Amino acid sequence: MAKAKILVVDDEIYIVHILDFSLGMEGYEVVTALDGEQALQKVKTEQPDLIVLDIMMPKLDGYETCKQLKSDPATKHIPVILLSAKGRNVDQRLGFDVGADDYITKPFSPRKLVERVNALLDETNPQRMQA
Amino acid sequence: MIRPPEPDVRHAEALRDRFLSTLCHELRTPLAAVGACSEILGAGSAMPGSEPFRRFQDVLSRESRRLVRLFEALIAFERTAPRTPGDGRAPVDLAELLAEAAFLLEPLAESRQVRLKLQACQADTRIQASRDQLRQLVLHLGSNAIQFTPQGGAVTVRLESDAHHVSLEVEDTGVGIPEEALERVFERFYQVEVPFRQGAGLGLALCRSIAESHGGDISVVSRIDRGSRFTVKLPRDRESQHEDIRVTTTKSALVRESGSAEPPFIPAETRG
Repeated sequence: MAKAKILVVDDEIYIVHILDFSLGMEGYEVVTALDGEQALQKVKTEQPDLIVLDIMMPKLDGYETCKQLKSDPATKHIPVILLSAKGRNVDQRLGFDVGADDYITKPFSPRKLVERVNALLDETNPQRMQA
Repeated sequence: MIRPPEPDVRHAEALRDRFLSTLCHELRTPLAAVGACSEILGAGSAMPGSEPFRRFQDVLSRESRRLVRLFEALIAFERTAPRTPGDGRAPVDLAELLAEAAFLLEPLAESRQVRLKLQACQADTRIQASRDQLRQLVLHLGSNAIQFTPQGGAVTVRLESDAHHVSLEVEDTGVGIPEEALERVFERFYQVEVPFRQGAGLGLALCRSIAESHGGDISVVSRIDRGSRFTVKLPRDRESQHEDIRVTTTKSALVRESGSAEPPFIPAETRG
């Protein structure tokens, strides 16, 4: 079975590098985008199995990107983890309101983030074979 | 936009709360990068000498420096940010203050081979103000203008005055500010993407905060590859400062290449 594919979206290139490496080490195929608009394009062309999505980004922020993904029948099944520097309860509530499946605040542990990705993929697709 | 009236102290406290909240947010990203890289390097999952190893070392070093810049900016902000309107105000002659700032900016201008010109104003340029805060404002606008002006360019600092206001203008023949960035340059932590960016993105936010606490405002017009002009308009008397703080807004405007009703702002002798 093909490896699960993760789309990482963040305008901070360092965070993209960190996630690319950490998820790559776990055996995932990683594709990346630097803003919400690029992310929506990549979702169409790459059809990822899960998305790790920053919130504060140029062009289209993570909330709006998530909302659009979750309101489109073609993409609403894709689990979304919001990964953000916005750490207040109200920010997290807003994240879940727009349909996010999980919310992780920065600073974060790459190891723990990978665990959450594994868990969410298992939860949404119990038959999945990990890479 | 007109704010509903509220006690001045509460307004000043609200500004400080907003600043601290933004700072906490801005600290999280470099902290995330430093923490995550330390974890990856500590776990030994990136082989020493490998490309990922070098990349994470580089991230550690860059983001540590970013944290230091944020910290330094916080210290500078705490030292000079207005606490309550009217804090430490005394009569200040802006012409004198500008001459002092020009003296301090001259070495930077010389090192970057940028001409620094001071255009004084014959009218009375005294206002009630905090000298330290206005000095910080002029130095920031001046050094910013010099840094964003290529070798051979010019930065002009001038004063204008009417019955109610004294305006301070800092104009450069530099790289200009992109249209999409114009509306945001006074936001805290916002930075225009340039290859040589420095600082933490707090300088112009601090300038706005200082101008507003004096009952004034700050605005900018800019043309790509032609230059930018920042204008700080300050009321003369303390009474109007007290009132205006509730109603001032910060404006940005763009002078377009053609078809603009705005008068050209770059003096002929500094063009090209």
